[in-house]
Amino acid sequence: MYIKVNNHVRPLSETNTTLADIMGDFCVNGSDFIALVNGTAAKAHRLLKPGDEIFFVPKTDFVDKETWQAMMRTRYTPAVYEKIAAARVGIAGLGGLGSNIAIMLGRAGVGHLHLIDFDKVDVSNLNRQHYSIAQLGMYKTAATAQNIRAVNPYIALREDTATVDATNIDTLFLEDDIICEAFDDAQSKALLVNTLLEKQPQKKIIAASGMAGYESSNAIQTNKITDHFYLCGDKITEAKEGCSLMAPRVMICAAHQANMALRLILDKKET
Amino acid sequence: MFICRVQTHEGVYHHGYKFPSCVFCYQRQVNSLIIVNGNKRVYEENLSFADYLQNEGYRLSKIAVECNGEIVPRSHYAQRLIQRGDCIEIVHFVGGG
Repeated sequence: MYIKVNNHVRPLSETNTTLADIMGDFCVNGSDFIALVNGTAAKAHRLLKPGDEIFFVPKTDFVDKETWQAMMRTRYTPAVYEKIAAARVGIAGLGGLGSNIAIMLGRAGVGHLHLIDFDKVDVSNLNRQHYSIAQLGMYKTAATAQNIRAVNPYIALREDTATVDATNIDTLFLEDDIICEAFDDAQSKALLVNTLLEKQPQKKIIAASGMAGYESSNAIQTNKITDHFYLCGDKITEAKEGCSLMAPRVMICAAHQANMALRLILDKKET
Repeated sequence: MFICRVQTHEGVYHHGYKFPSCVFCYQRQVNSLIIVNGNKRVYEENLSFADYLQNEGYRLSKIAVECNGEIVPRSHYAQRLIQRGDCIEIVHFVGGG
């Protein structure tokens, strides 16, 4: 009859033990702490069962790496957490799609993110890209890294401030297992997808096409083209004069790409 | 599916059942089609991917072409011919991201 509290094994002596009964041993003032039982926030009167994994974490201070990892392992289940923590995802382009994909995968705990963009944050980006006024003029790679570290400092980031073209596609993505295509320009999208599928057929590519304007959210879908090529978007709505990119649909499409990345990491099949 | 009996049809007696009940009729029908982006199209002999894509008005620099689950390399468009029964997916990228 054991439970695990803050990653340490501890006997569960009585059957009617509640969270409140053991709380005092781990936190001085209970109201400053949040209690997670098996990854989910629980109230003080929660009865404890053998095998429960409990974390008392301070509400307003961040936790050390070991506690964070143990917390995520409990929350996701160990099998899921290990796969996510070991994953390597490249994000090609850090505009409306890429800056949002990066922050979602960073929050989710994807262990290795490779951030690629040549550009700096400018004022026209703020209507849909995950940057703030304070970041104007920064390289998007540095600004995205800063944003990810602000919510999750415990993942490995590789930044490449570079223009992706025919000369460097072959070498740039060697370390990535999954690549999210998040460019703006249609020809750049096609070039990246064609080159990677042709020359590095073991990689998985999640591309995007058609997310401008304010058409129905439901038109944006994830389509499996081959086992190694997935396409998110409505396939038709191009960004142009009179139909510009707006935050909601761009972020919906980015979320489709980020979720497809997670699904591939977790060996889920898309039909 | 079964084989027709009553009238000759490619050397086999035809029973009169229409496609796709007759296995030979069905095969003949399938062999004369290709599938493009989920839609049936009539197969044409000696048609290269480049010709087909151009006829359909695609901008070659903005597409990716997949055939029977594999990417068709851009450098193969000109010489590779579309085969009977090919299942082709043409992804046409639009700008925005």
